[in-house]
Amino acid sequence: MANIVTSACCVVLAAVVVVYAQRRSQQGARIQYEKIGSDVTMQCGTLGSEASVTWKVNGTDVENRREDDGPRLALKQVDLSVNGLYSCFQNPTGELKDQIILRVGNPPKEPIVTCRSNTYPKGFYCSWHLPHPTYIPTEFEVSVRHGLQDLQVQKDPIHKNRCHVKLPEIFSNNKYRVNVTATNALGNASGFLAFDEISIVKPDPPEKVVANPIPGNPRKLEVTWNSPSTWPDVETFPLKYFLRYRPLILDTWQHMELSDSTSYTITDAYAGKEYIIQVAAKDTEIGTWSDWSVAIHATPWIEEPKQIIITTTTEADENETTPSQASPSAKPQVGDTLGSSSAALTLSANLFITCIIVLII
Amino acid sequence: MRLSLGQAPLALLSVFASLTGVTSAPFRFHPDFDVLVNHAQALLKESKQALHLLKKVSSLEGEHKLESLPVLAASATDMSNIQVKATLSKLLSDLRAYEKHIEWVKATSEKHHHVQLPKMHAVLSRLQNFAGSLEHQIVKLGLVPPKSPSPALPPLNSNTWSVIQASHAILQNLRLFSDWAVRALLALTGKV
Repeated sequence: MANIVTSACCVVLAAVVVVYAQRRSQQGARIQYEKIGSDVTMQCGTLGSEASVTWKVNGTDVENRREDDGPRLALKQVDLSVNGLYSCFQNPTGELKDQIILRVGNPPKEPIVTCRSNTYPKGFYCSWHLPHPTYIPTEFEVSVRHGLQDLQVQKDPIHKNRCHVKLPEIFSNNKYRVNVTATNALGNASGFLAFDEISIVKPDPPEKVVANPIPGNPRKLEVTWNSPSTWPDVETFPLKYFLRYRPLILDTWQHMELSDSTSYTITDAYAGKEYIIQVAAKDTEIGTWSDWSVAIHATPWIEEPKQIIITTTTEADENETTPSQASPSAKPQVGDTLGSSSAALTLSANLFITCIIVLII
Repeated sequence: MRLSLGQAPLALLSVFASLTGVTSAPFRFHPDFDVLVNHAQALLKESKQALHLLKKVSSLEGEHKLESLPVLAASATDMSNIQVKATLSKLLSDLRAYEKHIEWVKATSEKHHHVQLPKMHAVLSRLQNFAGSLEHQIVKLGLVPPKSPSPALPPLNSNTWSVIQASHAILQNLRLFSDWAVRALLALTGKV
């Protein structure tokens, strides 16, 4: 056991040392960015064309290098596999003369921009992505205009490719124009989106969706939910809802659109079947439907099976009349009480009639 | 002190009133926001349909502006701090302005026989009903209705292209305006 721990420690330590060594060796190295598919030439410092050098990539000699390249290293139609730390050493002294970190990639294409308001009428956010990877660091710059006014853009603290904008006014006929420019060492490109505020309104899905069986109703389920907590003013900007439900065993959904209500009772459920239920929300007038809420499962009320007591009458049983043998359910107990009281009543009536006869006599 | 036969019921009434406080509080009229919301919703529906049909018969790309249209500059904060008197007054004033614009565009289109403006008459009718009802409520509130605006409309002999552009601009703005009207009236309903 101790040997395993020691070995593991050694491996981790070795890895740390290697990483540290690589970092140290990369310090002072310059980065050269090149486009995928291009022919690349790396120059060893300022050495003249007559100089003889040895090139290494990540510490290993570069193969198939032409001797007449002098201090230069030429690579044809590069791809991602050539990425690495290139070092050149002057011959014959072996003195390190230059270090280049080669990073190949692509210039950015036009970013694809989408905007959405899940907090209408307070604000909206825009997200963007590149249609193709660049493989090298790429920065984005975002500008948003409303009519002729430049709007303040706030970067999202979590999502790298997202920003937030406050709506300066609502019910406006002026379009919003979002411009996202992607820039890296190999080039830049801009993506553009223009929209009316009403087209980007899309609430988050309803929250806390709960479905409960209704006792005594084997075909009903009572579904309740909350409006999305991100929707700021549900009074002035009311939401309508769309409910869908289906038994787990079927593929066909049943739908119900509800205006301004956060509950619904399903009345046509199949008795005893487990249901899957989801709700979506939309502003009553503008925008689009939210995504579906997290699916919840519920089964309508099921009548508990009545307890059936199977008794086999034997002589021993007839003799044993202890209370513990009595049925635990209420109904039989009610029946027993009635039976004893009716017997008592009969006895009293008999006594009463007897007394009257005696008196008459 | 003796009360005549005619005075007795009045005296009883005043005693009842003083006991129940019926007449002690001044009478306050509350506008019937449900009626107004219904009017606004009907106008919204009509203007949406008219815009949809107009886009079908004369699809125009881009933005269409008409400087004479009422300006609606609301923000989220404005909606939460909305006031009854100012909002009803703004509503009526803008409704009257839209009414004049639609009357103008209808009259102009009649000069250009090949210009189709579907449902414009229905929109105008909804608009007038809404404005009439709103004015009635404003008067009952004891307020003075705003003066009817006089937008600077282009001359009636505008060309066909201008009429179509103006129709798009009017209906796009009216659609936004009636959406605002519905929400503003709903917000006011919660305040009364």
